[in-house]
Amino acid sequence: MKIGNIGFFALFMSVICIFSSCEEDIDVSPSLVTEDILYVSGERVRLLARIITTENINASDHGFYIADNEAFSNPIIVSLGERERPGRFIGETGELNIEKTYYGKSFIALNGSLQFGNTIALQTLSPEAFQFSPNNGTGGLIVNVFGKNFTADSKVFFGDVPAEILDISFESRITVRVPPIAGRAVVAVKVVSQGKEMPMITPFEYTVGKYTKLSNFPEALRLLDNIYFQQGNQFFVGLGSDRGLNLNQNIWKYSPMTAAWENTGFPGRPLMMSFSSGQFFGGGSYVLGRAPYLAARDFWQVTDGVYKKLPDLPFDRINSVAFEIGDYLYVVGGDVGFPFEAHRYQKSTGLWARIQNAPFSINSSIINFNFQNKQYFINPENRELVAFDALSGFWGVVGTYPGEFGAGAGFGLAIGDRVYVGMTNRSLELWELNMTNLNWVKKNNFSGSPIARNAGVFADNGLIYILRSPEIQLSTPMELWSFDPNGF
Amino acid sequence: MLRRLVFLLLLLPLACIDPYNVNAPDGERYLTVEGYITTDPGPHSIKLTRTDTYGSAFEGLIRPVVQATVAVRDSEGLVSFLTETSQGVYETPANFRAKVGMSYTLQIDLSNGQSYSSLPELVKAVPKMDSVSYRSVSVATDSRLLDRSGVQLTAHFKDPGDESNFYYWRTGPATFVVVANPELFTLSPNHPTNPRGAAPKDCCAICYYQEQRRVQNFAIGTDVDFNGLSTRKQVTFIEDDGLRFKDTYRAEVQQMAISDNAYRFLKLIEQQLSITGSVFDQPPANIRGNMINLADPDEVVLGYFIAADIDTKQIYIKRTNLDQKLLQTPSIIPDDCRIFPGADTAIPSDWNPN
Repeated sequence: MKIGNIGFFALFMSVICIFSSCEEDIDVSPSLVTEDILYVSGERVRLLARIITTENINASDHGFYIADNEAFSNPIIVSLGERERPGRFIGETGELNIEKTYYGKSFIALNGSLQFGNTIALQTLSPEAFQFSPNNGTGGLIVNVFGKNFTADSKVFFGDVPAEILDISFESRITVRVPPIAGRAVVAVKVVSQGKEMPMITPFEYTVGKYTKLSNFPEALRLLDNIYFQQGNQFFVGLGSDRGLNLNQNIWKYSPMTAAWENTGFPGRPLMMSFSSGQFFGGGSYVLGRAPYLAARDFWQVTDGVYKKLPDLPFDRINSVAFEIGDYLYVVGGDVGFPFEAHRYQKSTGLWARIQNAPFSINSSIINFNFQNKQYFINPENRELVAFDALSGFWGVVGTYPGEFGAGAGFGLAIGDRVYVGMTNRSLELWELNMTNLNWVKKNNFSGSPIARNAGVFADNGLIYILRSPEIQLSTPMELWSFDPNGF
Repeated sequence: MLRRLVFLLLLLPLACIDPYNVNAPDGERYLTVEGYITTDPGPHSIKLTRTDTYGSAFEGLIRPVVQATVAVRDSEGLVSFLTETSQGVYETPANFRAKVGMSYTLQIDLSNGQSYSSLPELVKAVPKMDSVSYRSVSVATDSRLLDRSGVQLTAHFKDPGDESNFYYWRTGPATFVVVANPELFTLSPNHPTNPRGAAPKDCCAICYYQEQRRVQNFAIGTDVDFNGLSTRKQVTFIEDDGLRFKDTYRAEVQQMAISDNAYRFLKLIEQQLSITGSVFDQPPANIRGNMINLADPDEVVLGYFIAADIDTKQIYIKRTNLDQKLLQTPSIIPDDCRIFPGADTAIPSDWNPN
């Protein structure tokens, strides 16, 4: 019996041993992977990491170590705090230096010890500044500087003066307020990010330009539909009508040296709406009034102040545009006949010839100017700046006028490689066109009355002289103004 | 007694029924990003929308995400801002084009302050297509009397052997000749004097129509089976609707090189689209894209931002070159072809079928 009990006990223990086992604890320590660099710029990096595990963790901290050495001595620690769930996390820092190699790795703090993910290397980028816009204006203007990898400490200088930084967006666009003008109208612009200087190719041009009223015209008349031209430093203005009420037979000349007007004693009959260029004038109407016009074919040459009547024009021209290039006088468009029509007069032979038509309707109210053997016109229908190449006879679009047209009849005048365009009727705007890069810069608005027309525009010694003829409803005399494009 | 017991037992199954109101929780409205950039000149468009709850019926609208700041940034830090051209549609500048060898990320700042970024997408050079061929095909349908038929386009190209390549094919805008019969025009049945009377028109029998299909077919491929070899791949099927192949159809095939992650995303999309309800289907899956909420990386964002090099080829499919037996019966337009919405008699400037 005892033996049986022992046997039963042995069998029982054997069964217990067979059906029981030790339960081994499964190691569920999470895997940590530094996955990718989401973003890297000059000073900023954004890293992505993932905690992979099958259960929640109770990490007291997680984040990234970033350092400029693989040993991670003196690291920048991006701490994201406690974390319970596995999954992705993103860490970011903006404390890096530009153009430098860094190393980054993720970490989690578990049970008092740190667990690190794999290390990835990254190279911070170099800031660059490309352009800014607008490139001209007054102090206080808001300007955007475009580039890449701008750092938070970026500064923008206009000359030596730092601009107020309003915003840096996406590290690629700095919005600044232009500082007030300080000594120079054209200043270099540069961006400085973490000590790296990035000068811009084009300078910023402050809106400048100083208008000075010189004198009143000595006569009481106010010219309308008149002619004007310049020979050397002598300005000629005359013919046309007095306010559209009486024809004017006189031509005066003005010299900036003497600042005096003088009647030149024109021997011909009065004309209005004639064309004029440096040496020639003619056409127009010999009777006061509008269409139908009574066209005059008078054609005059002025040399050293001496008038010489040339053979009559072979065509009628009213309000045409005239200009001289080389040995030729060109007469284009007008208000009678075909407004696209163009003629050429050879000074040496005295022969007229019909040339290729203009691409659009032209008359004397069209802004036009001469620059380096090309005549430029601004098409009022679409603001296109169209160049006429006298050598090839080709008309081509080269740009667009940004200003306002007012009621037309503005002027265009070249001084050096800059052209001044504007002051159309009832408009005070004046623009400067840089002929080297076709960049338009606005100048200060005319400070005189807008209720006047340009009766004559001349250039001498870097200044523009404008004879302003008040409109008929005013009783003020004509005024001579000077304009210094760089004055302020 | 037994009768009473029977009545008592009949009362037992009776009970009041309380209606059960199902209050299904509102589904989350996920941000959805659609679009890609390529090495072709822009503008390239990115469309941002929010999903809405979908149950037995649509309960809301898929709403565009407006007034977001969207930018594409390359691996050198150059940022190109996208402009919202219509609600939820953001376009790159016209001069923007991706460059081979650069990585691009899409960055989105929403008006609610949330910021999203894509994972960087590397643009790898795509092998040029040698040619695109086509053939007529017929596809069986549930109807034994009526098969679908159309044209199968095949891209021929040589895969580079020194790298793993992942391909993505799409079709660009197609143009086809709309053939009408204005000489067969008849008056309206309600015409007061001559109902259904013949009234042939002089114009116009031939128009051109540019077709941009709203739902696009796409094909993907990997060079696992043809690494370094010349190969061909069926890239799309253009169904004959009786109008498309009456004269000449111009198709545009786009071959793109995409990243391995983009390929995996599209492969999962393709698998999900091919589910038919059979036991052999792939199980439904939650497909994750490459867009991440910077504040909450676990937020589900639908869609994938792809940056790819692209090669485009056009092919003119002439009716005379197709298997006539496989063509559908031509549809007749007994009127001026310009009544076909979008059709125009002007020949497209780049139309050159010869």
